[in-house]
Amino acid sequence: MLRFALLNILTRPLRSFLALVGVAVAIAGVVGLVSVSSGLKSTMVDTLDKVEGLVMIEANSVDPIFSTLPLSYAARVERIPGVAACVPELWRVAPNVEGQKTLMGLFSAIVVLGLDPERHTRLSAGHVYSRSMRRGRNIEPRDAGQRRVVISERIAQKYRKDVGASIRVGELDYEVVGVYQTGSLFLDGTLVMHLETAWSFAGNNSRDVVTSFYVEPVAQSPEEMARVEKAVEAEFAQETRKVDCLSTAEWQSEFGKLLGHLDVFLIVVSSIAVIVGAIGILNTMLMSVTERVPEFGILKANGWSRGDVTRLILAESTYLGIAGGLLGCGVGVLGVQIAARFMPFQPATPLPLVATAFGVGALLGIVGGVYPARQAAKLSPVDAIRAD
Amino acid sequence: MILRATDLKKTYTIGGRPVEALRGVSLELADRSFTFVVGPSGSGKSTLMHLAGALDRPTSGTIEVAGKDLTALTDDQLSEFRREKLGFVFQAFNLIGNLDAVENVLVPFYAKGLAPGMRAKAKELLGRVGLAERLDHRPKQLSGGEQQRVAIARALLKDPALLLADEPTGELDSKTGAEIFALVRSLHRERGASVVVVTHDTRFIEPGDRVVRIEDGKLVENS
Ligand SMILES: Nc1ncnc2c1ncn2[C@@H]1O[C@H](COP(=O)(O)OP(=O)(O)OP(=O)(O)O)[C@@H](O)[C@H]1O
Ligand SMILES: [Mg+2]
Repeated sequence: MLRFALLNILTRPLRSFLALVGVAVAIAGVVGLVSVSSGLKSTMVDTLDKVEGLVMIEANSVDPIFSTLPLSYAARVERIPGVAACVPELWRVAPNVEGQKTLMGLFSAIVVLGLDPERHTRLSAGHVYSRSMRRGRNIEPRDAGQRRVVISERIAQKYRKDVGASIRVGELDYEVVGVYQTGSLFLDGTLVMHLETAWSFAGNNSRDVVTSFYVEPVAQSPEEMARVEKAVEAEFAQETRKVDCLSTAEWQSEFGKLLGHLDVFLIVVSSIAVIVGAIGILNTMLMSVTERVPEFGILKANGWSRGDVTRLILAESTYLGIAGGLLGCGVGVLGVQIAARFMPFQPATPLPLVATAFGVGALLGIVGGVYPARQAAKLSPVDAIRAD
Repeated sequence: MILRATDLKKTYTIGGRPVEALRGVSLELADRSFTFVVGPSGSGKSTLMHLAGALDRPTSGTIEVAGKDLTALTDDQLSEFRREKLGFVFQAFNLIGNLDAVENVLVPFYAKGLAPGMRAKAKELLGRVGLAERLDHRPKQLSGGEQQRVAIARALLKDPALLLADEPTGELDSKTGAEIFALVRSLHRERGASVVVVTHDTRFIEPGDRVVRIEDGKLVENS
């Protein structure tokens, strides 16, 4: 019977192929999307593992870029017991580098970080950027107000700049004094400069506001982090400018929420793809069943039961689904491999995903086959014979 | 008794109007009998064959074939009964286009699985009906007469209790038709299956055959 089912599919190559392509496209799309999203997730987790302290931003501002806080908050935070250091940071988006726009894509965006090297030396582990120096030197107190920057290896390669070269950010040229590499997609899009320099870059004349603070607790335990976090938030609870203090864990859960939305999106897109694939199979099988009415008459007259006919049609549609699933997986994985060359991060195609796609293909086949199979099974043999 | 029908009625409804295809047919056919069903077009011959062949259920009355009351069986039991006990040869379109001659002979058993030796037996039967050289040919590659032979071989694979043939020569020229009848006749003698044939061609009737004439849904002659 399975051989017979296969034969029935193979004798209608064009139509079978169309149904198969429908399923394959759906599954390839799902494989591609899920690969990209899981690659993105592991990239974010990588990033967050590199940042160990707490980040203090203006309440409800989501990201340091949208936050503004008075510089004077630093001293108040440092007085809180359990806080080792509180370092101001000024984050700005660099609209263009070397005359090229940087906001073209999520991953090519370049941001400017202004920091205070004197205060940074108080951090026990050092800042993520100072820990990741490759060549040249860190930003130092003597760079205050000087147009000097530390750039990432990625930026260095992209703009063919190295230590000693000058790089144009916005309207002005800056001297590259060092190159770092954290290995994180998000962190490596940062130009580091002295806070004083960054203020002028941002066009801030008032030198008493920053975007955020990096807060290092004395002890690194999660309980201590949570306690310090609460204490910091409580410190400014009465102010008009309240703060949010986020730990790595919280960033992760914030990102988790974001990725949750991404997952919902993926589920919606996948569901649509799956429905489209199922409809393709449904359509193909319905047409096939309609054409083969006399054939079912013959089969039934010769002793095939309703169940037998149902199983035949389901076997055919399942074959279509599985073939489409395999093709879709192949195309999807291949597509992801190719796309990976043009992406700044590695998409991940986990094996279970391939297995799932395969299973979904088979499921699509079965789902798409149920209605046509019922139609074929309920034909009365006499009507089928008289249909000649 | 291979077949016993009592007051068999079959009414179709087309567009709300009832069409009485059979209006009370009572009939008994002996084991190993060879029966011709004749009558004008639309008289109900095919309807009777379908009821005898467990392909359809009567509106009223009872029908017993090979000792089984068909009205008491479930759909699945009817399917099994057809598979195990009955052979069919219709006027045309007896075969599955995708399958070759051997596979067409075997197809009744595809769903439940072939018993060992069936394939060899199918080939032997195709040889018996004169198609030894055509085993792997598809229906398209066979003439009308050859297709009917495949259908006959298929019916014989199971040693049927009853072979039902509805105008098996209707689409064939008279020489080929005669060959098919000769084949059915010799198999009837050898195998001892009961045969019921609907035909307009009365020249094949031999002494000792039953002849049943139907007109307007009723038996008018029963000899
Ligand atoms: N499925 C059906 N629906 C409605 N009416 C039907 C159906 N099948 C048969 N009939 C009617 O029942 C009557 C008997 O039909 P049947 O096919 O049994 O005749 P027949 O003797 O085999 O004719 P022929 O020699 O032309 O094959 C006809 O009037 C036919 O129109
Ligand atoms: Mg007829």
